[in-house]
Amino acid sequence: MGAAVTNLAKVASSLDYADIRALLPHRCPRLLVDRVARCEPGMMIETVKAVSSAEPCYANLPDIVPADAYHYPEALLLDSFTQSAALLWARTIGRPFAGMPVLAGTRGVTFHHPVGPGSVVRTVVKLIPGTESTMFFCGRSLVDDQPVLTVGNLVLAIRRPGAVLRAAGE
Amino acid sequence: MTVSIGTTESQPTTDDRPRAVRFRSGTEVMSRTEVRGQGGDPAAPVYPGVLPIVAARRAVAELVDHTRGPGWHVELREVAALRLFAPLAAGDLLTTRVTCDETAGELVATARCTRAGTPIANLTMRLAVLRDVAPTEWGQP
Repeated sequence: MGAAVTNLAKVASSLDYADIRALLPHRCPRLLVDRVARCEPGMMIETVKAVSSAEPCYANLPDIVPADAYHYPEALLLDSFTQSAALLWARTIGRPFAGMPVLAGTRGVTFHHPVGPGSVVRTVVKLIPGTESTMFFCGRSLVDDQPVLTVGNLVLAIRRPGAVLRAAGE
Repeated sequence: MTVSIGTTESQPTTDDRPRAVRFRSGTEVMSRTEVRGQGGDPAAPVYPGVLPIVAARRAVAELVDHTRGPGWHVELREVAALRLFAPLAAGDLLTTRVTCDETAGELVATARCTRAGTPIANLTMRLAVLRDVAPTEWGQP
């Protein structure tokens, strides 16, 4: 009985790649969360993203390049954090988004160390309650328990797809 | 004084890299990024909000390359503030104007991103300018 409860709790608080695809509209190669290790809806989420040398950002590099060419782009680290935040929000409301989650802004984003191929990035995002259509988040990403990214405040907003596409000029 | 370095906004790009079109006094750069590909969601091809960060960072890299020459690269250390006003879609031409101040060996860059005059994003970021580290034979330091 106790083991069954533990398993249920584990199933409810972790998500695999198929679950993530069901909750987020992003698709390969721009889906930057591999696994949800732990989720407490309304509170926090811990996600995992493995950086590999097969990432599209390394695809067109020549054979001989400076070592920094293999630093994973900081913007993609932040995008992975943003997608983790969107997952936490989706799990908090308990269903896929009715509209499109978009990044509205962020403050106090610090990149501590470069991340390279072979790194496993663990991201912990905490939710700061907002409104029905706007939510706030903070948190950090770690590699080998060392912080690589700290986010002071990140704002996500839900927009109707039609409105977003019109604003984008589609 | 505005200096043209020969690249123009009509020059085709092979990726999302911006092409710097103007530099001013070594502290300002204006670049253009042609948005290509599918975006994050195939059903609604809108680009992620971090694209202005990519565009601004690369514009600063072009400015550093223009003022210091090859052998240097920039590392993004902080995005102090990013505010997004409108999304981007494939085919958009993003114009990024960056003004840099050098403080204690780091650059503080203020960027304004627009699409056909429409504000897309404003951001302030801090970057380190570092020498390239050449790859070593057999991976020895």
